[in-house]
Amino acid sequence: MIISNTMVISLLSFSYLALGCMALAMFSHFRDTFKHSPTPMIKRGLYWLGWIILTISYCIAINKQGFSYGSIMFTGMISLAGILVVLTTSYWPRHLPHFMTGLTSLGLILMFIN
Amino acid sequence: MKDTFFRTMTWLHTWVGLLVCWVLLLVFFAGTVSYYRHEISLWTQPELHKNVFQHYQTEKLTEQLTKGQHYLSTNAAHAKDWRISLPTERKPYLVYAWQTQPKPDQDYGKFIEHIIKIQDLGIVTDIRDSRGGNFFYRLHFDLHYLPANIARWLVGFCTMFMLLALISGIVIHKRIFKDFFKFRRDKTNRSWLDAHNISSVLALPYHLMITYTGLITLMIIYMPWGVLTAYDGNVRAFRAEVKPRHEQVEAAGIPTEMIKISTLLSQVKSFWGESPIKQVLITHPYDENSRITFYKNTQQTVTDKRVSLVFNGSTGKIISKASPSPSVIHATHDTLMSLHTARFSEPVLRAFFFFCGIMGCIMIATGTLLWAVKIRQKQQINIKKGIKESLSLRLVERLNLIFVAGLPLATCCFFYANRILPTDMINRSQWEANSFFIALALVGILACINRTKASWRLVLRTASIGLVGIPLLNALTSSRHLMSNIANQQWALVGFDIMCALIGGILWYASNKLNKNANVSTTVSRSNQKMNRIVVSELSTRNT
Repeated sequence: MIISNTMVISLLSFSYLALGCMALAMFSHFRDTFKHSPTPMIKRGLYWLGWIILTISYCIAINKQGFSYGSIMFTGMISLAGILVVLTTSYWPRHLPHFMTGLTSLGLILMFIN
Repeated sequence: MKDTFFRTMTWLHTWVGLLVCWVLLLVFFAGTVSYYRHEISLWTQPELHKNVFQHYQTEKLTEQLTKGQHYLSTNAAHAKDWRISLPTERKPYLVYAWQTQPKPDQDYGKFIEHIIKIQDLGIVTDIRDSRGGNFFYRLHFDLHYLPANIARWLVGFCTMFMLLALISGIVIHKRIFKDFFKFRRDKTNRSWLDAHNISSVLALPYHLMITYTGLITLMIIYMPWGVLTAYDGNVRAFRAEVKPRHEQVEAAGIPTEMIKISTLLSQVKSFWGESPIKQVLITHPYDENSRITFYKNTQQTVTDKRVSLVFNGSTGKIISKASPSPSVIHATHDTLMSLHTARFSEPVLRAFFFFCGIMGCIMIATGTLLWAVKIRQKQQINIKKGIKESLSLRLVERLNLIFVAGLPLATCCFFYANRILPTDMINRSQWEANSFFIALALVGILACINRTKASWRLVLRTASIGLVGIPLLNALTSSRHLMSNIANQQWALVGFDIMCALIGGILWYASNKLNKNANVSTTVSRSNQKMNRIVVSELSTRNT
């Protein structure tokens, strides 16, 4: 079983996107980032979007790396992605959407190159 | 008991955590570092850095085994056992080793390792006496200077407390989801609490797993009664049944010829296919009861089991095939063990484990620092009036300085001692270990004299300068340096140098932060520094 490093980076960026969505689904983080309040619709949408992306990346992880190895890897990955989201929301909240789009594009490109 | 459930849990979390946190920090730190045990060992043996590293090559196996058998039978004909260790991902070199006949009152003889250079350039016999990464590995559960069984009980006790602290921590963290991503910087003790919460919540699955499996690894020591009852107090019988590899045949005392080990390769291949072999162990060479055991390199399988094939050394007949599929309990235990040791993980996953370990260290460190900050605030009025701080506050602040700031410095001292102590020194490896504790003791003396920010700064800066100097030290005291290691693609050594330098840089940055915020508190800068440290060390470990 060969685990490619580019696949890990892709999954990491998707986890970042997912957790970023979940952070934005919270009132205070959303206001810090966009300077206005979210509507309940947007909040709920972001929340579920986060969960869906997280589920999809988990499925990719276990599909590519086997159930046990993929699960262990995925747990570590969301810890790191979570810390990255925390750092972004506390130091550069305005740039959170930029990082999310940037990383996701990188992840998608790497995945399709693979 | 306090009046409400919530307050009881808070009380429990505080005191259970505070009581054991320094030992726990040492254990957690040592455990985290020992994820890179083999890489550290590699770095601490500069004799191996030139002309030794090689990959596993299936086509060379026959040659390597034949030469090994020849070499061992000329150099160690009367040994108790021979070991031929083939190159693996984390130990990329070929070893011919043997164990001498033990003295009558001892269980084991002396282990001698000879490392074979590539392209028949010779053999490295003279390796400095160093524990390397194994020092941290042992420190993780045997501590040091203490008898192993006492130390293991102590570590087990602390682990149990940690499990309690984790669970009570989850119970009292009311805003666990609301504050999931919240880190309020520049807010003194609020920032400490946030750092403590984030480092524990985001890596919570890891913390729970590692603490629980940590107890499982030594469960027979902590709860021996089941085994004692079922086996009539005979723990050895239990071990032999659980791990049949421990069951050893005695030498018959009848000398016989041995078969050529390489002739068994085709049989091994028929069982394992192209899977790489990790080690070949030959017990009682040239005896009628000699055994040849092949160990498989299990690579990324989540298991801690050693998969083996055993042959008779004189007839070449197979004795035990790969063990039958284990019972459910056995498999569960094996999985839990392997989760703790993480032997199966390749570099990227290893980096994640290391990262989570660092988060654990941060969780413990911020927890105890938070306590000190809070108590100091409480006593602020008294301190202003000129009344001395309470004994507990003084004690905690001292221990914090020793362990939180002292551990990086002590680790740094260990690496310097490894390279600087003369190679022919008596008890050399012990003195390396001593240097680690001498550094801690020196920080301890400093903490008794002065535990203000100036001391923190001093300790952090010393460690920082030391760590940044590690690549230079490596260049001066080994045959290779950072650039030549990059050119030769020795990523383990490159990663070690770069990571030390990076952590050193971050410690310097942290000490500067301490300067600027001198009036506010150490709190903010320390936690910022820690947040940064995780990310950077994580990125640098990717390379290893």
